[in-house]
Amino acid sequence: MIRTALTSVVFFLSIILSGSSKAEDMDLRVGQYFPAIFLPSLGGGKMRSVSSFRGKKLILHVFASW
Amino acid sequence: MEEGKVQVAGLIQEQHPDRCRLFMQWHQMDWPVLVDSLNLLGFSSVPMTFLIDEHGIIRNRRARPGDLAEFLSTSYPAPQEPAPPPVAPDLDGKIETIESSKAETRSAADWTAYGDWLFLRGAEADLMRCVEAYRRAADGGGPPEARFRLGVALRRRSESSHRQPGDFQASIDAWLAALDGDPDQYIWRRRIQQYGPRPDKPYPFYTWVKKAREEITRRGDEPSPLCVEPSGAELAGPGKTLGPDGAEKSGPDPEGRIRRDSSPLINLEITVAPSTDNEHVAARAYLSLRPNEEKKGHWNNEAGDTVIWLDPPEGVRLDDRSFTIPKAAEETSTETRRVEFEAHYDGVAMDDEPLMISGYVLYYVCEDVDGECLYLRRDFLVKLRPSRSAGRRSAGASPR
Repeated sequence: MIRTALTSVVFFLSIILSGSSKAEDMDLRVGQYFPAIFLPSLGGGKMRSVSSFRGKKLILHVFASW
Repeated sequence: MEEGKVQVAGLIQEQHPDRCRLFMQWHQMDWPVLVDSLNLLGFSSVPMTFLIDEHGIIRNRRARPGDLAEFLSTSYPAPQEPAPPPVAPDLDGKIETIESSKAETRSAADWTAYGDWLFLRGAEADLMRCVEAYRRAADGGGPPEARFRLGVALRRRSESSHRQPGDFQASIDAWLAALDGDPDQYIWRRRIQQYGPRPDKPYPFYTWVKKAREEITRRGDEPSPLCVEPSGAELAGPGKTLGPDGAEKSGPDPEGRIRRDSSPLINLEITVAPSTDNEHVAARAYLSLRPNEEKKGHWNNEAGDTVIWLDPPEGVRLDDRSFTIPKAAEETSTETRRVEFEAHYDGVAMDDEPLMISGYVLYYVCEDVDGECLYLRRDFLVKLRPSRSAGRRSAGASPR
């Protein structure tokens, strides 16, 4: 799991470094709580909030498959 | 990375989350992913990587590889302000209040919240009310976000058993209206470009799907299924060239001698997705041909293929002027037949009058399973409306 997580982190950060970053998002600033809204999970089941990950550090990738 | 000290999660901005599921399977990534198809969090670009500490505080929002080590080794103090409690999916009872109120008393914000709740429940049966809620929000002076979400719901409904005629075009129009209100919203722009013409595409959107399926299969696994296969537009890459305009070609029925389908036994729906800015003067058109269930129309596959002929005005270049949809294998069938094509009209005189691409479809169809079988023609118009407005082109379509 750690190797998978590390590999995926490197994968996503390499995408960022390839220059695909675009316009700034306006509402989520450093120092603020990440919004705790409920969203569906990709694998189905109960809706979940990013706040449910509290207790450990979190690397959160915001992306699309295209 | 010390085991147990950090976790990884994803948050996707995509119309079709099932495609992300295939993407994750392909790259063998098994961390949890949340789905934000409605763009509720308001992201205007991807990708972004957030580093969030154990208290839920954002420590970095554009992380680079060099930031990770510091983030993981830093002990972040507990914040002075307590975390706001997460809002329950029903907005802590607000949805019940909205549902019990009279429709005419609900604000645009109420309608938007109601639409969000209905969409997130994920039930196809809720899509009718969901679309209606977002329409009310948009018509009631709601923000551009309400129009974007209306487009998302309409597109989803167009792919469901609750599909209504014109849903796909309405979704494109809703997204264009949203983009008018916030031209810097690249997530919204990409949602249109996904279905739009090649000159307006930043990259091909789903060409990876074929490779993903091949590699997953080679590993001995079953590729995760997709609810809707990517269309031609979603596989096309950026490009500006088209085939020859075929001015010398003549159509299969130039004198209009084939009998018209006045019943109609086949329902024809046309959607036009234009470029999202003034730089690329182009549009992608979609034709869908559905046997009319009420009239018990059936494709007659013992006769021949379905042929489409286009007659563009001067200056409008197309992929081609003639398209053929092969007949099915069985004797009769009722599947929806589809074709896509692009129209590029750069340099055509800019005025407020729409450009019309006229055309017709020729098909073999039967009335009921044992009914009369006919060779029929259906005429149509594809309407392209160039606009001088910055950041927006509008288009419409109508079958004759």
